[in-house]
Amino acid sequence: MTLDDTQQLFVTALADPGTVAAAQLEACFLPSASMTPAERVEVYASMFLWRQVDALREDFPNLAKLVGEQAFVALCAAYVKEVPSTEPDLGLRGRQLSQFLRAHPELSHRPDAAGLAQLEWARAEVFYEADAAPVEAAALATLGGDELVSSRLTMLPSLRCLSLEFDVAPLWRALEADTQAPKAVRKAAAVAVWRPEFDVAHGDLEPDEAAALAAVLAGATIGEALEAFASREDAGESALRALRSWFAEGWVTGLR
Amino acid sequence: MLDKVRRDVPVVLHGVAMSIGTTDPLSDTYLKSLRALIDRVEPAWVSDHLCFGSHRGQYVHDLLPLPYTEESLSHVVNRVTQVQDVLRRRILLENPSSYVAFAGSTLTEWDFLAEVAQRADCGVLLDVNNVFVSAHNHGFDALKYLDGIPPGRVGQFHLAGHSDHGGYLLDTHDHPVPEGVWALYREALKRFPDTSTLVEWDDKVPPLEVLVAETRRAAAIESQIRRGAAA
Repeated sequence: MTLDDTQQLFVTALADPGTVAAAQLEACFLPSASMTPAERVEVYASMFLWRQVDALREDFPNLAKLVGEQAFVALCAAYVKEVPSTEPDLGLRGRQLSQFLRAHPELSHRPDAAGLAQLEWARAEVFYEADAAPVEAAALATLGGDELVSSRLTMLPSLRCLSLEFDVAPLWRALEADTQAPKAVRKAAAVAVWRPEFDVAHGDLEPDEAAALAAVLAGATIGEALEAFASREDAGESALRALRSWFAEGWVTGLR
Repeated sequence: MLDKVRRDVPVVLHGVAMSIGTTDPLSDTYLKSLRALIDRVEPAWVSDHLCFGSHRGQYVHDLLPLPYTEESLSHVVNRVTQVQDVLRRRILLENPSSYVAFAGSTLTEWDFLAEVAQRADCGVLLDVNNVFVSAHNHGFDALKYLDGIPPGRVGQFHLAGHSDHGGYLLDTHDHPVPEGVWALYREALKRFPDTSTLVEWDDKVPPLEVLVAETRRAAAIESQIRRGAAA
């Protein structure tokens, strides 16, 4: 067998063991004093699955609580099989889990499980984002009116704005506190996720504020972004209040 | 955080995901990121494992052993050379612990590792626990392994605990260093003196003082061996 053939057989035996015959394993691997080739390969096959399940459990602790241990392991096993890892970093393993759950609602028995996974993944992801020093709202006072609306904000690298089909923030809170999970509530919701210091935070956003924030993150000017408040009676005041709150939360790290 | 640590103490970089033995092309993205980290941290040395961890684009997040053949040898030598060219430094390759052996292997692991080190001009990170675990699992003499590694190539030792699963030992890094590994460490120090040692403990992590006690024991053994050599 060539090196390439050997590696292909070994990886297939871990990722898709049902497709490898015992005779193929016996031709490739030696027995030990107490174990057959298949038993020896099984040591790796078991670690292949459990290492990924453990990594997913670390990033999706509340999803694991929501569905229960047995269902969580089963959904992870299905995910590991259907969505092979293409990144060297095990920490990125959960990147497609919410998408996978959306495509396979039968694995979680909860329609809001994918949304919860989306929130938990954002929390896991922002933990590793770079630090940046926030600027004070006083920086706005140095700009004239025209200059203000044509300026752009640089936001904290860890800041994310999530659009969710279910209101999963109360679900996350209940699970985090180890209390009864509320029923799924289908309601468009927006959540900001960020890492102020070492701890990750998230908070609900009103729809117009979420639209403004998403626009800022996509590179819009302050004027363009704050158009999202136009339908409010107190549009100007609401827009400025939101803008000031972004500075107060430490989300703004530059004006340009 | 890493920058803050680096300001106060030297740092070494130890990877698990280079997948140096895969027949896939080496990941350019990974190597460039590693190079950027090296430039930023200026580590005393950089190490990864003699293994493969990915194939045809799929990562298995494990350190899978290679068959020790002439084909693998020239492949790994070529890969180490490529990596060292990109990183512009010599790397250390660590011996893996393993639970399978290949019917096609024609070289011992120690001969293979020694040959890679000589031909690619890289160093060896000698994991004493891995030698112990693999010697048990494959039934070879651990002292023969140590004798097969060229002394000038060993840049660091790793020590760790393992678990006994009946038919095999598993490298788990979740126990104190067992007595058998300490004994083998003494033998390693006699052959490769003045080598830095790291105790690995990354699962079921104990109170800091337990870990510190392990490192003190390693330092005490090293002093003892050094005194013995000087006498």
